[in-house]
Amino acid sequence: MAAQIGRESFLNELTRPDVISRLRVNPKSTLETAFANAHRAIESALRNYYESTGWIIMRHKDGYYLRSRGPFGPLACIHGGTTATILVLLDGRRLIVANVGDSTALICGLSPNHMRSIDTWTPLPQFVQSEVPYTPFVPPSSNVMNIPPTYDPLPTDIRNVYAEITTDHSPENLNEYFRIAQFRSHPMMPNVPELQFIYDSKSPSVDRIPIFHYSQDGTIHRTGKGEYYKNVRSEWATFVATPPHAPFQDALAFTRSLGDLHLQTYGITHVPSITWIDLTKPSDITSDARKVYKVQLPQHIQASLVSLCICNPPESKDIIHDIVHSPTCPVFFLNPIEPVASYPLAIMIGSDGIWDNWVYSEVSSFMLDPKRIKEAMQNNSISSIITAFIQNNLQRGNINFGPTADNMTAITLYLLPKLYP
Amino acid sequence: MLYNLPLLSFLDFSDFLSNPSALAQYTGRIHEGISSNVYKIYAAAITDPGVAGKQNQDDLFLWESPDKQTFIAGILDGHGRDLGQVRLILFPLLPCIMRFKYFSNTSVAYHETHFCSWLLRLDVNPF
Repeated sequence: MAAQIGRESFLNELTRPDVISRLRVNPKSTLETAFANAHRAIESALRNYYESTGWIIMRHKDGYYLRSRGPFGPLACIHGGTTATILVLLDGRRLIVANVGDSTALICGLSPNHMRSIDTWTPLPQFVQSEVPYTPFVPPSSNVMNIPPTYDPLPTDIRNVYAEITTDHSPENLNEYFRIAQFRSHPMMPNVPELQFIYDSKSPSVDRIPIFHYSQDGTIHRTGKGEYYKNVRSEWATFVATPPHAPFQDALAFTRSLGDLHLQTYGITHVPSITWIDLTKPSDITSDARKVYKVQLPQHIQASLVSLCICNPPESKDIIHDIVHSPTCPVFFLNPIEPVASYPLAIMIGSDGIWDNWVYSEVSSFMLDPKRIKEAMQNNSISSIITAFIQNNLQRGNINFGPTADNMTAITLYLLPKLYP
Repeated sequence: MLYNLPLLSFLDFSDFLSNPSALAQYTGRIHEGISSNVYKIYAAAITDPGVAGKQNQDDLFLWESPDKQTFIAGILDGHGRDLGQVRLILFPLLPCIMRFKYFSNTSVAYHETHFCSWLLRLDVNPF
């Protein structure tokens, strides 16, 4: 229920034209607002659901809900929530990823060096959003040559290049440990969160071992004493849990989520981690290319022009100077918008039922297999790729987890540079 | 019905672009041929319960702007106690169960409401 409510909230909000415009200017606040609204929608839906089924709902002063059958009935805490990973490909050239929880996204073909903090976001100039790359306007009577970009075949070693573009929210993330400790610390230990960060155990009677431990000199380190791996990447099964003295017991396998109102009082948050990638090559579009030049044009064209945009300027500035000599209209010389890579890129977003069964390099090799890409381009379809992927995942899930295999959901994107041969 | 499709089923959801409200109605889906100024983009999505008959708490969406320059995708993985599952799985069985055994003279809606209340009163999560 929480996932469905969250999906509807995101769809209703993020697809509005005014929200798309806000994403261009300030994606951080826009996405944080969308996540906050989805969180509130889930909160409201949980309350409405229980009220509609005859429960008496009480809101605790800390913000979570309790339910009871009557004024003297036992109180139970309302649980439930969802992960959320939202990917925005903005104006065909910028990729923004926001996530809470462990629904990971992977980009295959690009290294982590391309990832940027959302704090480095600068809006594109307005005129760029409507320009058309690779269809340059060449001024008449000029000798400016349009030089189309060239593309390389898929490099064989690129399949080993990938980047996790979502942020890790597992309980083993030290940054999250510190964040939650700052939000609500242990009453006796200010550097330790009241929420427990612990390794899971298959035996219910065994005491769980803490993930982090402070040495006597004050340094913190991972104990590394997990009992079993939760996935094929040898990551320990971990979770965060309410302290033993908490009036209601609760646990979660990650440190951020939508919903989970009770755990949010201990530091679980619905605020997403956001990163972005520029999918185009850096250009001087905001500096040198915005200089205003003058160009000689026939009178009948001059009369109808307010300004002129010339894409794909030649490499040699001498040629530009040859045509820039007459006071007519302002001209913007823009470098071509070129893809960040000259070969196909692939993006995989998946729920943990996918990532439990794959090492990241395996996914990258699978997605960037030249045979699969060639077949997809010939058929103008990637149906066969995602079908093969999910069938492979079903087999892996059956082998690794048997009847306890998790739900598996995948979204696959292929980004082929225009004019890719 | 949501999550009622057979494993690995796909729906061509080209109609979702012209009818955004239909976005909420699909489960297995393929969407391709999105284009931008810089890239030609192919997108596809699929969800599966993982084990036949298991409740699927995952959800997803895909959306493309009318000018085909902006694309948004999302995956959500629900967790925790969710009594909506009880309703989804058990209610289709209620008419035959209750009519046959106990409440042959009363409406199905009455039984559904009270059966749900009975389950909630137990305060147990059968899943």
